[in-house]
Amino acid sequence: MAAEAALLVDNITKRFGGVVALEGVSLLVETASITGIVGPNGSGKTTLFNLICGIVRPDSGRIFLNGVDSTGKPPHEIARLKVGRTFQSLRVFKHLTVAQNLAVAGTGMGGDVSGKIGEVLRFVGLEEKQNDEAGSMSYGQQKLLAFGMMLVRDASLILLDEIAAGVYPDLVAKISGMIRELQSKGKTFVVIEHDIPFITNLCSKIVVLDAGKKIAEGTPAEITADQRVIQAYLGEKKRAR
Amino acid sequence: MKTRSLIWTALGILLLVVPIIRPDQYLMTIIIYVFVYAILAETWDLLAGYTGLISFGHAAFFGVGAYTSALLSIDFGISPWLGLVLGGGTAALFGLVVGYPTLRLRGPYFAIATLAFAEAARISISSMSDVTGGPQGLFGYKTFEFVPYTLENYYYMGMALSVVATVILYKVVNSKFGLTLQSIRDDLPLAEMQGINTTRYRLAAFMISGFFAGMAGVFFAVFSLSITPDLLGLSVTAAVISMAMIGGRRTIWGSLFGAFLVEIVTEGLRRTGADVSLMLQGAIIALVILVLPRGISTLGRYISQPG
Repeated sequence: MAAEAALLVDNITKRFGGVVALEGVSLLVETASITGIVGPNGSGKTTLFNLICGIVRPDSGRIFLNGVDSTGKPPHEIARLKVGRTFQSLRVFKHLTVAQNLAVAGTGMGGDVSGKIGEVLRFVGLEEKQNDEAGSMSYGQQKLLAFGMMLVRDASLILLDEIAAGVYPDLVAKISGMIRELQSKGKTFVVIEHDIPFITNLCSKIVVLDAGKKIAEGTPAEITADQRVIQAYLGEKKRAR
Repeated sequence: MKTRSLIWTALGILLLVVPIIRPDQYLMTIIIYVFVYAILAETWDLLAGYTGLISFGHAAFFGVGAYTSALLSIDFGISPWLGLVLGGGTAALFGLVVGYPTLRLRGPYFAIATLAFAEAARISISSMSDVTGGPQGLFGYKTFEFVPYTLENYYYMGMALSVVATVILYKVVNSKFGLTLQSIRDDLPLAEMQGINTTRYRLAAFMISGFFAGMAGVFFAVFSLSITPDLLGLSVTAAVISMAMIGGRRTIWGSLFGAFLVEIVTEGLRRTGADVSLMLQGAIIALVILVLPRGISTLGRYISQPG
C-alpha cells in the first residue's frame, strides 16, 4: 500500500516549545487523488505542509513520498522528489518577470525546461504577462503564476495552501478546473482550504484537523455530517457539556 | 540600446587616451584606484544586489588577495602574475570558510558576522608580525614581470583587469546562474521549494565575489608597492558599499560610475586640503538614496521618462 501512495504521513508529532502543533497524525494520499484538509485556525494544517516540505522537521513519525522516506531531508531535496507547494501568504519571486519565475522553477529540477515554459504560460493564461514583473501583477495572476511554477517543475504531488482564498469566483472556478484536468493526467493534490463548497466539490477525501489531531476522515458527505467536525468548527456542544 | 553602446564606446576611448594626454600623475593614480575599486564595488553588488547578502566584510577579500600574493612573492619568489590567480583563489577559499557558517544568518546578523570575520582577519594579520610584518605591513615584493613599472603601464593593466572583471561579472549575473541568485534574494524559502540548493548557490556567489575582489587586491598590492592591514579595514568596505549604492545596485556596471564619482570627489576634496571628504561621501549617499534610490545608473531612465 505504501508503495502506491503518493504521500504517506506516519504518526507524526511536532511541538513548538510547549505548543503541540501536530500529535500522532497519520495520512495516506493515493496517487492521482485530491485530498482536502480542513480545520479551524491553529489546527496544524500549514504545519503539516511545512513538515512534508521539510521546512520543519518532525519530533517523531515518518513521511514517505512515493515510497521514499523523506523524513529530515532538506527542502530542496524534497522538492526534487517532485513535491510542489503554494504558500498561504502568496509567494512568487516578485522582482523577476513571469517568464523568469518559471525558468527558476525549472532550474531546481535540472534539465532544460525552456520548451515547457510556453506550454505552462498558455495553460495558466499568463502568456501576455510573461515579461511583466511578477510583483506588479494582481493577486489572482500571482496565484496562477505560483501554480504554473509547480507545473514547469512537473511536480507530481502538489500541496495547495488556500489557493482559492481571496480570489474572485471566476478564478476559483478556473483553478478548480485546472486541478481536475491535472488530476486526470495523474497528478496528486492535497488542498488546504476554508471554502467548504470549493473543497467538497473538488475532493474525494477530506481530513479534519483540530488542535493538532486528526478528528475525522472521509468523503465530503461523511465529513459534513460528522458531529465532531461541527463541534470543532462551532464549539456549541463543548460549551453545553 | 544603441545610445548605451555609444556611451560605452565613448567612455572606453576616453579612458584609453587619458595616459596619452599625460595628465598629472596624481590624476592617473586616482583613476587606477577607480579601476581597482570598481571591481570591489561590482563584486559587492554581486552579493548584495543579486544574492541579497549584505556583507560588511568585503575588504577582507581585498586584503587576503593582496597579502597572499605579497607573501608568496617574498617567501617563495612566486611571480605576481601567478599571484593574481593564487590571491584570488585564496580569497575565494576565504569566502567559502566565512560563508559556510554565516549563511544561515539573516539580514543584520549576517552583516555583523561578516564584519566580525573581516576584523578578525585584519587583527590576525596585524598581530602576526613575524609572517606579515604586523602593522607596518609588507614591501619589497616583486612587481609584474614583462610590464615595466610605469604609471601608464599600470593604468592600462588596471583598466584591462577592470574590464575583464566587469564583463565576466555582467555575464554571470545575466546567466541562468545569476537568475537563480536573484530568486534566492527575492525569497529564499521559495527558492528551496523549487529544488534549488540555496546554500550551494550562495557559497558559489561568495567565492566568485571573493575571487575577483582578491585579484583586485593583488593588483593593488603590486601597484602600491607596500601594503598594511588597513586594506582589510572597515573604511575600505565603507567606500566600496557607498560606491555600489551610489552607482546603483543590481547593475554591475553602475558600480563603475559609483567608483568614479566617489573616488574623484573624495580625492578632489582631499587635494584642496579640506578634510570633509568623509562627510561629503555620506552626504552624497544620503542624497542619492533620497533622489535616486536605485543609484545614478537609473538616472537615464528618469531623464527619458520624467516622473
